[in-house]
Amino acid sequence: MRRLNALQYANTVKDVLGVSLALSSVLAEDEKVGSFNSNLLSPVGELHVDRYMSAAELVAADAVGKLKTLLPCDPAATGEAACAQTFLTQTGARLFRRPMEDQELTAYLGLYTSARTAGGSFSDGISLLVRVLLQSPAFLYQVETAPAGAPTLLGGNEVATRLASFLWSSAPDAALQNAAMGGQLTTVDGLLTQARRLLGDPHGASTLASFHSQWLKIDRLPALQKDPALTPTFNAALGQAMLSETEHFADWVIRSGDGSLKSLFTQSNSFVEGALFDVYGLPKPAKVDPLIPVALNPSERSGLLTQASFLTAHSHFGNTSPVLRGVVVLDSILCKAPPPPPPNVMTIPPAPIPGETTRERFDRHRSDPTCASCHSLMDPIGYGFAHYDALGRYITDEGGKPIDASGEIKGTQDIDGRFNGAIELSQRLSGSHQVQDCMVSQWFSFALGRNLDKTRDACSLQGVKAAFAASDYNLRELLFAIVKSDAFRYRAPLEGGAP
Amino acid sequence: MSAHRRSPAVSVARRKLLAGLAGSAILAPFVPLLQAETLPGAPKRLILMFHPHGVIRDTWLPTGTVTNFTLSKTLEPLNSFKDKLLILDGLRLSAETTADSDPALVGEPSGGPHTRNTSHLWSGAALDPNSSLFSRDATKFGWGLGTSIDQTIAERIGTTAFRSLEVGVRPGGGNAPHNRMIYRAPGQPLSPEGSPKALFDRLFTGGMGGSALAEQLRQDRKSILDLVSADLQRLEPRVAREDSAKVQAHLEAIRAIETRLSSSAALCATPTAPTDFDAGANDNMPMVADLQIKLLASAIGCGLTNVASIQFDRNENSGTLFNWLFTDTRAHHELSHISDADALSKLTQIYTWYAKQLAALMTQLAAFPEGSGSALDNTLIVWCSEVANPHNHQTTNSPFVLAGGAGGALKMGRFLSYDNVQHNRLLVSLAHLFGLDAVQSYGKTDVGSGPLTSFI
Repeated sequence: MRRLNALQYANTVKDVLGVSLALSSVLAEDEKVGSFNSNLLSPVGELHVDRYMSAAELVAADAVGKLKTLLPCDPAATGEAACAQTFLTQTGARLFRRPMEDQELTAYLGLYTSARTAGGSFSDGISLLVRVLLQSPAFLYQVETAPAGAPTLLGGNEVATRLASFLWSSAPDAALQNAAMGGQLTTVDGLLTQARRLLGDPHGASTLASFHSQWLKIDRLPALQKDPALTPTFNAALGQAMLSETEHFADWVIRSGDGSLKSLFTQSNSFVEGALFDVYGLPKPAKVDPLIPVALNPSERSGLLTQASFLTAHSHFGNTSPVLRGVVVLDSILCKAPPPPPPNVMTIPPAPIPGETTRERFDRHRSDPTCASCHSLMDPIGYGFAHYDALGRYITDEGGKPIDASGEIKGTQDIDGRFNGAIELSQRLSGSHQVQDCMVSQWFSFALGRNLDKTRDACSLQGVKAAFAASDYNLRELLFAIVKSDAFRYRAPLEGGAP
Repeated sequence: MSAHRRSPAVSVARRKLLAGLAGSAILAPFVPLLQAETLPGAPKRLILMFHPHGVIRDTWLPTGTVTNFTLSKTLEPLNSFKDKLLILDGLRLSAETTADSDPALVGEPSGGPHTRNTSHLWSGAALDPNSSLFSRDATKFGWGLGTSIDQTIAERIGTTAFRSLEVGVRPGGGNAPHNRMIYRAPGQPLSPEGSPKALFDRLFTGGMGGSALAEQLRQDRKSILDLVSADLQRLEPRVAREDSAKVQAHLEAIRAIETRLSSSAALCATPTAPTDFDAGANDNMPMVADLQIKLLASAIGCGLTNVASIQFDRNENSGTLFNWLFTDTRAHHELSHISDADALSKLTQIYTWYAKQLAALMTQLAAFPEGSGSALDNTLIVWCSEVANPHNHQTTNSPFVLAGGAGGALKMGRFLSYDNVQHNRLLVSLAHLFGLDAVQSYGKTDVGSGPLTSFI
């Protein structure tokens, strides 16, 4: 029983009630499973419930401020009580992602009626209904009532909920609910028809942005502190521009472009705005069309790993770190996390010596045999990024010394060997089976909101990998293959809770 | 704790919760619940205080004897409260040590040193090594497997509007073990409130204030929570066993809020509401600290809670720049691994700043008169960090400072040195101070028994 994450809560409230508020600071923080926000395991405490109460009150105040657009009926024409009932029935079905039960309808209408009897206005009554709907477990939890233990095909509304939360980070819309009620989601074909519609819809942008920012661990860029001595000056606006660039780029590749995994790592053109033009060394044009990518120098840029977002998020405060960049490539892209540093070692890199390049500085810590075993995996990948400074600007020398961007990949299934620079590294990664398999795992655990189980999910994982390969590694087809899988369509037991 | 929350049905639910969340074999230490009696005069209170990344021992350790000692540089801001301090040297955290009776926990400790000790500090437990909920590099782990001592004590004295209050000063993003130290139960961390505005709203609106609007809001909230409770109760039999524990926890949280909403009027005047500002921003930390300390002291002084904690900063390697103390581009964690004279001096400034925060909290509490003294005399503040020595993550000689008082039950104005004693002994002593006399061991890592010697 997963609890909505903050993004799903905010998107649902926007889609169903037309309320756009910055709720992430009102709701309690999400739990993370792997790289992704998912409230899977730990139960709520008093603070969460308090925050839900405050959020519901804020949303209700905003919603009843525009009562005309909120209501599906005209209370003057139908009568106020009848209109309240229609509102409750329709809105409740959207928020609960299933029709409301009679007991719920009766109880909630009772709340409305007693408010009116006590002298409250019509708008007060509607506000109460919004507040109780948003605090109800049927809204806050994605309830799947099939028994745990044996895999069971999910009901129409349950699988619709999974689909909308996967592809939209929101609740099902009316069309998806109708398909669920009409029994069309029990077949793979019916489910796929809806999946294609959802991914093509503008609402799909939210999920694509959320996946890529969390997967690449760049989601906190706007809040990062950087050395004020860096140019251009790093601030929240530049951090946001970097983040938006990558989110927009990935969306463009997947939904407007050829959709291939290869393109994510090799397309040089991207979406540049504001001070980002300075980072990329380009003159700021008078006008930027947000829908058309800007041409970047293909000898300097090649996909996600050469974008300012990745390079800046995985640098230190004022200088770069081959270790940080190397670790994320190993962990997020190759699914091959290095082991933690042994206990009682200094985990801070050697202090810079004036006149020394970053590479020379980090070579010093690799001379320590305790560190060398793991850093010989991380650092040589990170060295490939030597041409990019702490804000991702392309540099050709470091303090007058030429850049050495040669690196080496070790310990992979299929792409070991020396390489020179991040362009070659990106090309190497773009065709790697290990990267393809890693991408499947990442999207799969994002879609399900849980870690994959090596045993239980083995067949599903195999099927999805085969479908991804058959599509020549098309990411759209990867998402659809996940939707088709048993792991997505059946209820699996909770992690760590074998009955 | 109100009577209905201690009903047998809830005990069953709690056991289910533990079983469901932390794996079948792992149960919390059995703590017998004594009947809460009316304490004579003002109640005793407990506040846990935390800051990350240890201290510099050379500038922290007092000199002198048990009752005649001199504070060093770091603790100097507490000089005027010296007779209300009890400084403990020689205690060690031991998240790596596991009880022989629990083979599941023997082996490689889970999480990095900062991560595992944050959960370990107040609960004496380790992180769940059998969960893959979180990962740090190649190791996987879950939430901590203990109940923090404040929560155990709250079972007995958490009879106020708030059973306990978790306050944060930039307690960090990412709801994960490195940023959470308070555990309601194994696998059930409680998030600290990091926003002064939100903390004020929780404490002083809704349930309090006499305006018609506030009264209406309180009534609305109660009616809504009634319906939500009914929904949860109807839901429970339909969900899987693991999920029914979540339903129970949700119900328990609602009951706590309902109790609060029904509680009588304020015992003291409502302080001015803080404005809404970015409480997460680095440079706002001193302002957030000031507001949170005042709100926390008000909550204690106004009788809203008897059990609280205040978490300064976070442990995902603190990226805080102490710009208001000195100029340096290196954040706290980065500095904490450097041992040249410049870094040591700056680190000492950081830890001294934290001591000032404790002094500020003590000053605020002292402003609430109680009996012949003040709320400070009845509030025991226990301050520590997740490691002792930040340079190498060592956890021997952890920097424990107790401050305030326990209503006369604990002799203050002392400096006690122990010889490498597990800090679980202190957790047991705390339980005893708050009337839980039957507790002899505390936490899954406890290999000893009984309270600290020569302490109470």
